[in-house]
Amino acid sequence: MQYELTCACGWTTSGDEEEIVEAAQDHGRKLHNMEVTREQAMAMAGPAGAD
Amino acid sequence: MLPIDVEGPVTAEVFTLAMTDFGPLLTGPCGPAPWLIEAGHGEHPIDTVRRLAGSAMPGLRLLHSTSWRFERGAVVLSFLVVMDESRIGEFETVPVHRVDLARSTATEAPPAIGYEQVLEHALRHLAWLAKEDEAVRVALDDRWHDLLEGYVPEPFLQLGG
Repeated sequence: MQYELTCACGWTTSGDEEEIVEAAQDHGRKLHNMEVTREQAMAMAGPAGAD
Repeated sequence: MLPIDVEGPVTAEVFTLAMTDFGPLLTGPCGPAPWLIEAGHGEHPIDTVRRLAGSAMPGLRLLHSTSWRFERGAVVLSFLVVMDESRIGEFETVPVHRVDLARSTATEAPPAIGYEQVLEHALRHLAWLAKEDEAVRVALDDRWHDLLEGYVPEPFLQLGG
């Protein structure tokens, strides 16, 4: 399944679960000094293309 | 969907600026807006900002704290980062314009503080630093000094409540 995830700063990513979790964790760590858990990432993700 | 957002008792709010021949631009790796960074995880906030900003934008010209306020249950420390225009690359930018500051009364905080007002104060503080701090004066080029001549110098301040 494809997902989309958005950061409050406007950064977005899309992909399967592994891809968006890895991308979100990398973004959070490098740009916000945040450690994003898998659960947090998936809680904020939605199906790609949905409003 | 609710976006992932920074949280915690201390937030660093970073304004990344680059000077061009057309004036200062607000920019940065998180878009032309305040860049929010979680701070206080056992690391000095300025070290956190220096580490992340230095990694995202090598060769920073200047990094300075300019104000603080309490917002959304956290202490927000505002920082000004100056980078060279050659580092803008694919970052989005917006021009920086002058705005009026949000002023409080003797006993009450201003009703609202927009980021443009925080940035306006940051530049007023930079104007002060450019005259009082030799390291800052040397770090800024003539275009910056010309711009800052138009700002009334202000010290580090608590903004709002």
